[in-house]
Amino acid sequence: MTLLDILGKLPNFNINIGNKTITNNTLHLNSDGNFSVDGKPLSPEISEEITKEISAQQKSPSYPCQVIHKDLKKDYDAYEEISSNNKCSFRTLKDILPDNKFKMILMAKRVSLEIEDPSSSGKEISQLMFKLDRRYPKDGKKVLNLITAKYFDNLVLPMIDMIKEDYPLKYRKKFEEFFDSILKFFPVAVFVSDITSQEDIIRETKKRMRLSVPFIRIHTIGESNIRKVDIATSGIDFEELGFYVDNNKHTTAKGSRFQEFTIRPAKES
Amino acid sequence: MEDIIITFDDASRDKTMEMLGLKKDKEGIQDSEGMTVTDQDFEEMELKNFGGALIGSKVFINKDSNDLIDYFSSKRI
Repeated sequence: MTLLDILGKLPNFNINIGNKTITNNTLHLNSDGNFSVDGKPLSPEISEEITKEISAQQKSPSYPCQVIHKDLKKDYDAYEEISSNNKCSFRTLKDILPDNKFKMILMAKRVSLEIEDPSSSGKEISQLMFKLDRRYPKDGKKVLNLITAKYFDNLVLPMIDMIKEDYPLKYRKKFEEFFDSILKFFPVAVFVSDITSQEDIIRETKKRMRLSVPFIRIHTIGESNIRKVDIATSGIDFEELGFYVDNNKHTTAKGSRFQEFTIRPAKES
Repeated sequence: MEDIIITFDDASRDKTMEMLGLKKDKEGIQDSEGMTVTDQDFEEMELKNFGGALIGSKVFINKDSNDLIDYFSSKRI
């Protein structure tokens, strides 16, 4: 009898492997050696059967299940979700980029998932952002900005195929150069954080307005940053310079305010 | 495909290690064949840092989410 067979007998533990259906795939081992599912204890007999089945694999090349500290469970689930939902694009990225850059994207994706999760607390998001910044102080937050503003999926990933077409032999090097270049300077967006000054916003916006790009979008979160963007942009005469603007402000379900200030060149007559 | 997951906490760490055939010793942790348990960087794992064992040639991880990044990057993508 396998671990799956044992678990398949439990009424509150259905799992979808092969032709079976999952409603729960997690057991918790308690300090008394018995297991519980969703806080409900299993009988000592079933617990013993599960323990025996796992112990029987001690000398096998692998254990029959994932065994993880509960403090890691939320991270585990998030990385599982990321790897399942993005398998194809992430495999391509893994093939192209050096290990450290690929892992930086993976970690930034993890933070973005937490930001999107309505049940997540500000403290959890801050802790993850702190870890990202500590491990990748130069570019971690820049990658996160690209992901949360959807540029990563909509602009960066599609570039892989375009670069592959243009440079079938050197596409890895060329894509890495492209990726590095957008981390240094992203032509279609300005990301405003607490440490960005009004002067920074004006300088970075005007720098991009000199380029031939279809739009420039200023992104920020929080009332004080929104105020900063509004004051900074009010000092630029967009119409006079041949641009028109769209100042969108939204409130998330959790009450956070965010802004997308879009600048587009006026169409030539 | 979903895997079966067993979670443990600090209070059930010893029971978990026993189930996996791991023993504590002065040096750190030994597996059922008496080999020292190492993390993914081949560093000896300290008992207080034991974060679990993952499928795929018995991957032992520290109680640190960075180890999950290394695992998913190398084994799951």
